Amino acid sequence: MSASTPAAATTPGFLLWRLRRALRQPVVVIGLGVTAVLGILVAVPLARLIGETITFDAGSPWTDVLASRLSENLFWGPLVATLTVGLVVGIASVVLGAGMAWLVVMTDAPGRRLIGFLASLPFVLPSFALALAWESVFRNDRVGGRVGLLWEMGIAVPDWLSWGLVPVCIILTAHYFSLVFLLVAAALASVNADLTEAAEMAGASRGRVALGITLPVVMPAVVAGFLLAFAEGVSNFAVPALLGLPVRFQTLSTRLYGSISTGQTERGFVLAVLLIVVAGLVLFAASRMTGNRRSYATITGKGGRRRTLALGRWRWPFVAIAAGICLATTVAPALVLALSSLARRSGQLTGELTLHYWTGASDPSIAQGTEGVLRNPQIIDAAVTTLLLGVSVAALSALLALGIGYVVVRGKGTLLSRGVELMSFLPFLIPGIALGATYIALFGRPIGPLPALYGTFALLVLAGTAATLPFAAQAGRSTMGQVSGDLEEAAVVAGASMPRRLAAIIVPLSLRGLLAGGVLVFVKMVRDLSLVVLLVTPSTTLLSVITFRYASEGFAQFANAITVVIAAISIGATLLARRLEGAAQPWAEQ
Amino acid sequence: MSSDSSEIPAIEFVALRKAFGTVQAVDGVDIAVPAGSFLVLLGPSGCGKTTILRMLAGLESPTGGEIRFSGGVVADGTRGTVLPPGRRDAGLVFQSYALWPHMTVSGNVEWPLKVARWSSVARRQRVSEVLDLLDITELAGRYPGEISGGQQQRVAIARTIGPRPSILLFDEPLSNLDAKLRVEMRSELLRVHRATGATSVYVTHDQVEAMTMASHVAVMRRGRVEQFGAPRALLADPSTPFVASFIGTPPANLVPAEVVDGHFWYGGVDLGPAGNTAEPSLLMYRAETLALFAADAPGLLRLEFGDATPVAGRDVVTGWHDGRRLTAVVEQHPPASAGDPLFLRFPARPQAVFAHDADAAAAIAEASASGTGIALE
Repeated sequence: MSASTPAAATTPGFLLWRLRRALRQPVVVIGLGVTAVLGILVAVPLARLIGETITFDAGSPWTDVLASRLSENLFWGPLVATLTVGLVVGIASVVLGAGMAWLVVMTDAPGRRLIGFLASLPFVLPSFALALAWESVFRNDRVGGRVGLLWEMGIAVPDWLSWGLVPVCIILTAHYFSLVFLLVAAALASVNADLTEAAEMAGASRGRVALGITLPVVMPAVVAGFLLAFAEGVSNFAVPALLGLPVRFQTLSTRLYGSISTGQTERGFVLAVLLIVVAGLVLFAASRMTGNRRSYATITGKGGRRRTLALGRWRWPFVAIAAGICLATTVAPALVLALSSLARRSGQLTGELTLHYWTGASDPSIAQGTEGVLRNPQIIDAAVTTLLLGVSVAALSALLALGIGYVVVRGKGTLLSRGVELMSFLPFLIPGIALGATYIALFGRPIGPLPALYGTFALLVLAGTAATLPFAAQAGRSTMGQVSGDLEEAAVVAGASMPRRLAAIIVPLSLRGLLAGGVLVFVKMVRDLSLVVLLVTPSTTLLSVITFRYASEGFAQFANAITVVIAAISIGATLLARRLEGAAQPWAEQ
Repeated sequence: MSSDSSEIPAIEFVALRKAFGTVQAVDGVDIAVPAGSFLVLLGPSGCGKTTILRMLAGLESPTGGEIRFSGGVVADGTRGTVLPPGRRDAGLVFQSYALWPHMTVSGNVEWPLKVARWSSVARRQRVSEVLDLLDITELAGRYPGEISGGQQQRVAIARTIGPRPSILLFDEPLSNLDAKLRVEMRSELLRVHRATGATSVYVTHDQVEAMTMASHVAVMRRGRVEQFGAPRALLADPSTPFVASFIGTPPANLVPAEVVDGHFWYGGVDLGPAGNTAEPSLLMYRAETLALFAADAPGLLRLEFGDATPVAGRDVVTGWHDGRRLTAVVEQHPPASAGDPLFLRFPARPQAVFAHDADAAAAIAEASASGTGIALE
């Protein structure tokens, strides 16, 4: 009865003992380590960013941006454009994505498996690939330089179709509708026949079943899909930069890029904070919607029996529309890019084909003597740097994923676990370009004894790791969730130390998930433009940034050729990962 | 508390406590068992038995009291000396088996020996020894995912006894097996217990397992030990209504009786002298002490026939009186179908008498909610 008296619980000795005992628990040790790393990667840069915007003495950049003669141009105009893009992309993505999910999951449309596969593909191509393909077809002579296929064929493409809001929205929708598709298809699949048949047994009509049972189950996924597409539209940089900037169509991200690249860093930082707030609000709402309470809709992947709706004579028209959309967002742009990288003159896809832009030696008569991408040392350098960056960030992320997953899953319910989880998902709320600005704010100048990291490869790795944290955390969480705590405790009882348990039990069992997560991170890094565009310098050039420069300077074929290379690397990595996964776990083969 | 003062107990709890936040999962437990015993911690889910087992293994730390192995303190809630799991000379068989899926059967058995730094020769020899003991030699090269549940269970036991622990801990090891395998594994476990000579602690909610395997049983409820003793002692002399209605196949009947003129009465039947009790009481009658008749006579209780199950040449008959279920075990029950009247004769004296208070009522509800019923595996 005298076991734990309140008096004992408050003495310093007891508290010290509690602390010492806590420090011996692996969850606490790893948790503190991960917290420190996340602090450096996320919390400190964010704090510094905000600090930079308020510590300038002469004329606050906040006033410049929000309430000055410039602010209409600098903030309010781009804000309206940004929100318009987000709203249109969100709505259009829901219409396309949810419609296609319905067609694939709920009807007897022929070839719906293939459509389902194609609809999940647009992510394979980076968003700037779609923009470049669009240019190759629809570009008119408004800003001079090369023109697209249609103009060459004598079709007068109007400005609104070549530049600005309309193409930006179309391309972003083409890129992000598959987000909505994946979410809604999973939710629809969870509505198995039992649910709807139970309603029909209760006497409900077909329409009543759709409105009363199916829709409520799917609604959270639809709303979450809308918000995700909205947020992605708001934060995308590459597409408005390529199709908007030449005609002064500005969104917050292009404004932010403009400010920082022209040396108005403090205004850029203010814009970064504002962009984070806009995207953060939307994504915060989205994560609440997809959060724990509603997870039944998305987790129950296998729905069991489903009754499909017979489309009758409507089946072929529906399939044609869906297949058309899928082809237009995946196969067609890939083809256009590949072909136009072979065209002697941009826009003439049917004309003379040449490998000059791939392998040609310097020829003063073509593209100011630029060599083909496969023999251009600058591009080969960039390719090596890009691959190195992808691998480094993927390796760091996998390591962090292990730590984050361990702390979040094993420490479930503790303050440490929730803190780590929250911090690792924070970068999800920060658009890439704003995160880039954040890293300039923190590492642009020396910190104490540390030299300024701006322009170094290390900075790219740090920023990349921070940007991909949410994916690492997701991979770590789901992987560790599948490694039962009993398996580790069985090793504890056998007397194995923490490092030994990690090496012999936890790492081998989570290798598959970590590899998959690592490859996802690798692909994201190889394709990324918005994060790195502010951080690279001529000494650390990356493929995506070179593509962006070539495209802005009018060398369409080079840009397209490099984009093809990037897409090939992405697809190759994904395929490789599948094989690795198979090889990593012989015991899982049955 | 110690049952044998001449010998140091192999396992001893002193005022053991464990709180999770404000919840007292284990609320002051004192038990001691000698070396070689088979201690069963028995109780419904949430009674604290698994928490005790995990504290024995060292996977949880007590928040009060002590655990001693052979007299040495391994966990102490007040001063904080906690011997880590690997240094306790104890092995744990998990409810889920917790076989490492990326290691073969022999890999699973060998790994703890590696951790304990056995030489490779000794390891190889010990692995084949325990695989042989559990009759799974031919599974040595298979992965856990490729063998059946019963085989996995054997591997889990082999892995646990590999390093020759002096204490074996079992966390409801049979609950994932089907009824037939469970009976088989029960005797298998007893065989392993004898072969290793280890002191075993076994957690279960199945009183049949407790009765068949234990040398000592601790019946637990709400974090406390309700009664501690040999299985037969618990059966013969339950100290609380909870134990009485939790233990036995079928469990004993508890009849709520009023005291009128110095006699117990239930349903208009005189159940004998009440002695010096004047309060309402619970009278315990074992099912085999009740007799059933087809025709009414003075002193019999009228029942509605419920159902009858033949067991080992006898019939277990349940009937209902006033919404209360009564169970009798008889040689042969009178022909009846559901709803027919039957007549029950009580013996002259109940086997035990308990006070009938609110706690007793709650205890009976808890015991019957855990589904003791007639377990006939």
